[in-house]
Amino acid sequence: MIRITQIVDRFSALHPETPASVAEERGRVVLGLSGSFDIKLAGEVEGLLASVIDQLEAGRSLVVDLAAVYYVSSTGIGALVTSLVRAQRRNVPFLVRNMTKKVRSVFDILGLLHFFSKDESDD
Amino acid sequence: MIDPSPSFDPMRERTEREAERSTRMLRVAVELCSIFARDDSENAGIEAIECLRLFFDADSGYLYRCNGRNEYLCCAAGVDQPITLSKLQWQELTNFLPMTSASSRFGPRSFAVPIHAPAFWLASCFPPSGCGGGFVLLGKNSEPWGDEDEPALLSLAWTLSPILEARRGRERAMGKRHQAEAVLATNEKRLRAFFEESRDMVYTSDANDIVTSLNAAGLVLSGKPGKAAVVGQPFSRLVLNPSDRALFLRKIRKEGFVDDYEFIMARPDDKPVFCLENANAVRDAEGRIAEIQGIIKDISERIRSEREFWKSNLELAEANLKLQRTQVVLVQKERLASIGQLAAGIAHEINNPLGFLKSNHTMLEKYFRSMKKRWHEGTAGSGTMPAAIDRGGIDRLFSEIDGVFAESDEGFVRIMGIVANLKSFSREDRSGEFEHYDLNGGIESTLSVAWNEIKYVAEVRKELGELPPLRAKGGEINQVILNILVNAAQAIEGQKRPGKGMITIRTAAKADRVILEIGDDGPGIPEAIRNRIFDPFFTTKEPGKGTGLGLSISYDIIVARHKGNLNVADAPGGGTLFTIELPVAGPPPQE
Repeated sequence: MIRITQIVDRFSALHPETPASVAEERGRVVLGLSGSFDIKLAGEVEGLLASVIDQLEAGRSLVVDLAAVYYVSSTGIGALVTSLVRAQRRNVPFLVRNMTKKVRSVFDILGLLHFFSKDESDD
Repeated sequence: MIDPSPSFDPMRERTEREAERSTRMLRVAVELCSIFARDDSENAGIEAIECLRLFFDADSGYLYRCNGRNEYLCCAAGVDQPITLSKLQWQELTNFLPMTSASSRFGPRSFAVPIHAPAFWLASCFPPSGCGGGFVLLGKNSEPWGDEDEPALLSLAWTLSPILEARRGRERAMGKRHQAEAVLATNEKRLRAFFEESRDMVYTSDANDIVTSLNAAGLVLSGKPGKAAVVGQPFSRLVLNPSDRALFLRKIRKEGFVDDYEFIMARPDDKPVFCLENANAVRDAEGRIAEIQGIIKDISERIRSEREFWKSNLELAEANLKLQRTQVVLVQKERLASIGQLAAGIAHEINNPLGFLKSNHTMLEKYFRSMKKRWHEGTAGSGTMPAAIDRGGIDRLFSEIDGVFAESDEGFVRIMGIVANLKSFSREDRSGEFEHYDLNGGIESTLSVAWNEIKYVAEVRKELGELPPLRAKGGEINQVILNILVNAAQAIEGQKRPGKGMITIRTAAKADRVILEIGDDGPGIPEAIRNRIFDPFFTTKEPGKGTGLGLSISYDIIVARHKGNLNVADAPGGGTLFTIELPVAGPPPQE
């Protein structure tokens, strides 16, 4: 967890306008992302998610909180898809929570929403 | 005698004539200036030459000039329109002029251009620029030109020269302006065509993001029936998520441009169109946004391809996950099946020590009752310790009981060992992680589990080297060892040979890998089926003796999961030799 916190802190220092946060919740790692997943940021977010996933032992869940993500481009969607595939390969359950209506609608239009497991605590 | 007629004074007359000529010249000069002042057209040249022809009483007159638009014009007296000459004609004409100074008189001469050729010519350039800028030709048929005519024409040419030069400058400026206007018009046409015919949507909106123009592609993209449905409306009405447009406006107000901005177009037919926009803001003198100019590309096809790619990846990942889970269940089932198959043997292994434990227990009970009886007889109900008892008998009894305890201990150790090995063998690797695993220990526990299958058909020779702990899934590796050992024992048993066979187990460390060889001196695997033994459901055993999954799962465990090697070959001297290689550090991390 310490290593993951370091990774997230480094990301936030590099991207102060779109910081990320991390917390432990009932044994699961909750990664909070923010900002706009456009062509500039998507690659960085994908790198962050890959680093966090690689740190997680098999079976430990990663919950990605998207409450503060207000825009997602196709590259942003690609980043989340790639991360989900990576997590599945490593046997890390990958869940999303607090997806805004707008972001959800993009995933829905693309027919990709059902691939992303929703966190149970997501209202 | 006095002459009654007015006195004739030649000097005076000459003076008066000169004054009159000067006055007439002045009038002509004024008239020439007036002509050019009131008429900006080339017809002024025609009027001017007619004026000069009359003044000089010439039969013909020509005014040649090169105007500010580099046109070469011939204005002939008495015609309606000036004639435009080519540059070549102009050059030939000037070459034919016998001009040694600004003015000249000369006799009959034909020019290259088709003009009337009188007998006598009077010519003057427009000084000081010489004939290059233009000249005047006057012609007479009847008599030569007088001495006064040449300076008079030159003088008038001097008068006209600055006027014509000014006009030429003005024409040049106008020519440039017309040229610039023409270029502008061409550019406007090109830009208009670019705007209208672009395959991408091109639009402009004002400071409040109200659409001010869009091209035909914009109508196709937005699905609107006409420009009137879009122009004058907020752009956000074209966007599925209007907040996307708000974000776009925040960006463009901050940075002055937006690159590669994606949004989904809202169409009347509800068909989502994925768009990519590049736009820039045009600011006024105060730095406020006056206009937004954007180009929007339809990227729906690209997104569709990407979506298919993403879906394929996700479906593949899900399928892999399911397969992984199925394999885990399959391996566990195979292991349980093996244990089930070996249960009778294991029960037998436990039953032996249990048998003599029971026997020892019975014996201990017998000894106890015997001692109890003697105790009661010795004390005879007094409740006190007897003074004398059969000392020798008691010592014998104690010695026999010690032997029974020692034997029982061995039995308990054997049973506990079997149970521990069974437990160790059947470990489930629940975490799914690769953990430290002692291969030699795994071999021992697996041998214990399989011992009843082996001990009646083969001896086991172990040559276990010193090994580092591996990163592996121990339960799975034990499963592989068991499969190979049981196969070896069954193969030897199938030979119906008179004596026991031999199973040899060797381990060794080699660089960053460990090697495990399990060989037998059984019948070996026929060449014809050697390529198939790792196929799922392939078995040569009789029904009920094997699922056909043992070696297939073994191969998957060693090669796919542990990134090791599993090979089969003929053992030296006959039989089969399985060689397993495993990386000490376990498989490399997955990408």
